[in-house]
Amino acid sequence: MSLGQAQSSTPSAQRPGGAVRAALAAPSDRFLLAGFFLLLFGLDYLNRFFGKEEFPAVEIFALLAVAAVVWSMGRDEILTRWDHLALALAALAIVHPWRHVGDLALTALGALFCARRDPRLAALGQLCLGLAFAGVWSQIAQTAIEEALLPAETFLAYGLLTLFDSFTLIGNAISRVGGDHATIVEGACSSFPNLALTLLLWLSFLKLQALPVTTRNLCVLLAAAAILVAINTVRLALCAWSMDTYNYWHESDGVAILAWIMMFSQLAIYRFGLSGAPMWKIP
Amino acid sequence: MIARRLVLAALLLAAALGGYFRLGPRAAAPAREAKIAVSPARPLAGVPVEGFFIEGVGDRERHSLRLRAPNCRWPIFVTPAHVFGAAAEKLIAIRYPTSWRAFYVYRGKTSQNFSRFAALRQFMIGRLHAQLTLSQLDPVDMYYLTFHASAECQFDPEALARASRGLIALMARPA
Repeated sequence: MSLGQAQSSTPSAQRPGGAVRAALAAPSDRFLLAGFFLLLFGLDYLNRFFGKEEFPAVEIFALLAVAAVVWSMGRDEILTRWDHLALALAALAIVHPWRHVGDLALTALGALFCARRDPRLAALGQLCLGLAFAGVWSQIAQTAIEEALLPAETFLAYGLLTLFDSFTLIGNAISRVGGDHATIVEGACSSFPNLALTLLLWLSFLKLQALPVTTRNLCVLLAAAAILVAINTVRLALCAWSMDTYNYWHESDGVAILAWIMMFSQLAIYRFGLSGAPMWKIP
Repeated sequence: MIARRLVLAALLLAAALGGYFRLGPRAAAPAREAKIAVSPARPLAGVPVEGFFIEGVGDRERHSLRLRAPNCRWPIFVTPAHVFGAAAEKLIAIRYPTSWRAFYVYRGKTSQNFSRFAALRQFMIGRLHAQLTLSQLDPVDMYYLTFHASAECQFDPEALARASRGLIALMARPA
């Protein structure tokens, strides 16, 4: 498969490095999109492999889906002049040291591509929006609703705890009756950030296999979200149970155990739950 | 084809600039934001702040400072909270008699009806500006303080605002 439009038709393509030279001389839409997302990966995600930040496992999965969609475009010319302009501006914008400028650029590109008829470009737009939502918009959305969201999630954990002992529910806090341990459910304890990530993972699975959004696939997403909320409710209940359980499940090995359980449960449900006829040919 | 070549040129330029400004040895980065916390590791008891006097940590969850003021025979509890986060307001409020009042101080303004949404909007604009210009965001723009005090005690809103700035400076951990 070629990266550039003219590579296989020119003699230079036959020589070592000729494919790259031909692609640079006459870049295809696929080559430009691949270059843009490679740049985005290098500047916004690669450093998270080595730093103290959380490893971007789901985002990497989404970028793999982006690569699959871009690869499926072949030599088709599907970008308009406005798309080219937007791509150039977005590329220059993500140079900015603030990582979320990349998310803002993805939002603009996503909105532009989502409205297109070509299902591959629309899929790319949806993945752009999914990445942007997981990166920046989900935090803003969570803050906007967390005054209602956190007490609701705390209530779920409280309901579970009252099956075993007496607890008091105070807004977004749970306190053991007669005990000296109280737990406050803060924004980072909510299942909302993980719901944003599972939405992106679901979208990535769909686009990797070129699957359509059907009622069945939406039900799979809802089931995955319900599992995620259930696991998080158990985690909150464990944190509120006692200081010892809090230390284990919030500060120690329990954090990694629950993270792996969440990740594998989501991967399993999407791997075996999603189905449908491919919307475009997968190379 | 010209449009595609221009996009390619923009990508190559972005890669060169990005490599230099984001990944190079002198990579630029947005300023890290300071954090405010009532930390038992840094005892503030005995420190005077703009007409108030810090007695110590005010509750078992270590969310509040306990203050004294000359014109108030009851202690005053001060709780810092980030605008972009969920404060344990209900848990804290339940610890004080219902007759007590709460004064909120954010960005030098004192009120009894704190609009979280308006504060969040101001904070978001300030943070966006700080991140884009790579400047430091003032902790006063990030945190609001809640003063819980007996209804018997009268406070000058300006005095609370001044005390708020002083307390935030004391509780700020370096970025």
